[in-house]
Amino acid sequence: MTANLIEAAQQGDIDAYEQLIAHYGTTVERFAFQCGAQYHDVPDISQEVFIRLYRFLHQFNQERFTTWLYKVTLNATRDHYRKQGVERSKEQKAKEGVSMSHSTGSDYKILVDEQDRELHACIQSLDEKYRYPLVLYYFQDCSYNQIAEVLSLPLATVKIRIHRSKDLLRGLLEKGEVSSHGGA
Amino acid sequence: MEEHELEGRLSKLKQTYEHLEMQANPKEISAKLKQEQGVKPSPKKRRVAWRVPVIAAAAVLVMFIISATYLQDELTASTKEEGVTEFGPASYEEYAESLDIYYEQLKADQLAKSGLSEQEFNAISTMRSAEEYYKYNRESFMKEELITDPATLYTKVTGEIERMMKLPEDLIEDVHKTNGTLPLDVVESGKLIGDYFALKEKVTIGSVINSEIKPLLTEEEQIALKEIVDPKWYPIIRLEQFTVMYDDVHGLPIEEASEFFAELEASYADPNIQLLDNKYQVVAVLYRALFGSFETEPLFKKSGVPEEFRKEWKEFANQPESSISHRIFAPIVEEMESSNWTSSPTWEATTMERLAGIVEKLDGATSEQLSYVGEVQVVDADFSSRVHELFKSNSMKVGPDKYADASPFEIIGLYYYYEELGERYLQYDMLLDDPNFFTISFEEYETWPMNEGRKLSDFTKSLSFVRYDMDFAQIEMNLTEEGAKEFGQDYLTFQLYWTKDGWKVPLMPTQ
Repeated sequence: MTANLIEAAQQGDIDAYEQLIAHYGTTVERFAFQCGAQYHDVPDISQEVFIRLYRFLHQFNQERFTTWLYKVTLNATRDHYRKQGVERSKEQKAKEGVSMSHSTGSDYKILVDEQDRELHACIQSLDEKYRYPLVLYYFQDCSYNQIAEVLSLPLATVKIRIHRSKDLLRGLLEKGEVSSHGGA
Repeated sequence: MEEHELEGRLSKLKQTYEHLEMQANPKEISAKLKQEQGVKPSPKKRRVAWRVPVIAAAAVLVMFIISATYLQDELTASTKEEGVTEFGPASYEEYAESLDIYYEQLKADQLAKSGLSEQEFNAISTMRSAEEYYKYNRESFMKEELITDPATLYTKVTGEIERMMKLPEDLIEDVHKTNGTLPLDVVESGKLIGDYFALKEKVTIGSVINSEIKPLLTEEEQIALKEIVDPKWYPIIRLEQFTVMYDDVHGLPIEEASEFFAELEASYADPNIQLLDNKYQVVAVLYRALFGSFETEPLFKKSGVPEEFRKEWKEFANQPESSISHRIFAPIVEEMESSNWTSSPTWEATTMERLAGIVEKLDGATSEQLSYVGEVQVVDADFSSRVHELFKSNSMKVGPDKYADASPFEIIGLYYYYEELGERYLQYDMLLDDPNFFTISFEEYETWPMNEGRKLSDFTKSLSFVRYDMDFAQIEMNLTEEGAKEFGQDYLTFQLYWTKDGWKVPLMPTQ
């Protein structure tokens, strides 16, 4: 079904594209949130993803649509916070200590369970080079090959990063140094 | 925390995430798209034959440039908040213009931060590489012959440029930003690592500009430099980008990282700088041999060496006495043999850092002694093992996606392993089943006169290459000496196609 929708959307059928958005929207939003987007920013990022996707839709291979979707979502999430970074003064940032990957109060209304909050916070505190492979592998069920493709990395690097990300995560959880409470 | 406990928590969090509902409204997005001008998707273009080699050539060039900084690849392409031009343009030209602004601003920032003159700054090897990389990619935008969408490429290129233009202080900041386990604060680790890199760079600059180091260093720096870097390493340093080993220490406590640097640098005992890569790679590969490839099931578990790999271990131990392989494996194999291959205290104590220390002792080693012999054996043993594992774990499964996780190399290896076993049906199962390609029935395939007598061991994975271009992969599979004689050529070329079920082998009508 999605193949037909992609084909139709590639020919300019915007209603088909709307159906595609409905179909993939949840995936995009969950992925953005898992990658470090704050929950209240997710709709904006989602909108940016689908506008960007539409712009380059003609280039996409149908069979690899989800790979492109992940790539575009990652870029849109990064760009969203890059833009915020430009707008915020350096002094303000230093004061707030806010980065793209830090969760805020709104995130914790979504994650009710204390253990989930803690793990989510730990994952967000990982550097993106470890966070993204981990998220794709554990939460998006991507194969190593697909992750390698999404992140443009050699397969071995993907495996190493997932391996290391778990080590780092284990260390963070054992130390309990990452705050799982809301507020910037 | 045990592995299964972490896995359980990740699985539980995944379930929680799955309760998140979509917030954006598809109708609003499509309404916005309808309103906007200039965002209509271009009609899908047909790829014409002449474009394939052009794109492939472009890919090779990109790979060439990227490979120049390959060892930095693990570095974070972190977001740079300042001096970044936001982009949202649809045209290639506008991306190129954004890239100009981005590069110029970043260069101005880094130049100011470094405190160097522009001439000195431009002499730093990584800065020169960054400029070349920027110019090359700018041209790519202008030529509009991209193998990825411009938005993705733009993000990748700016991230890469930012990474290449990092100064030592940026690296220190990265270490602290990305590793919450460092026991030292920024100032302390800065002293260890920052001075080291900064001094190395000054040496580089001095070498390039004046062929004289002293004028660029203060007296204090000269003393520090003397303590950290022996002048005999200058030729190596001059060729080496200052971030090249960053990832090797990333994740280690800072004291160990510092020791590792010192050990590794000291290990470059041979003044022949061409040996640098070989030595480094031998260490890395041997480490991989000892600890597996970070797979769930490492090739060599610390609890003992499986019977099928003991031969390789003995071969390592039997290398010339001055070789790295011998130094590392001889004591381990000796202990292993005396414990019936169940344990070795030396092996237990072996870490990447210790391996670097072993290399250090190889003063006066010749290039022959530091050849790739160990690496080739390990890579090929590892490849063969992976193919066998793939066979064991998947041959009884059904479904077209059973090899979804296998690499193109592994697919080709398995294909020939099936040939070796006479498993024509399993082999047939690996073929690309696509109406756009040549296909035949299994009955026809059974009598298809191809591949007779070929086997997995005809190939040498370590000397083979793969090139990816979107949804296909081209492999040049190197043949062993015997295989080359048999086939009358040094390598065989294969093309595989990526499908939703993984890599598939197309059947060629001429075969």
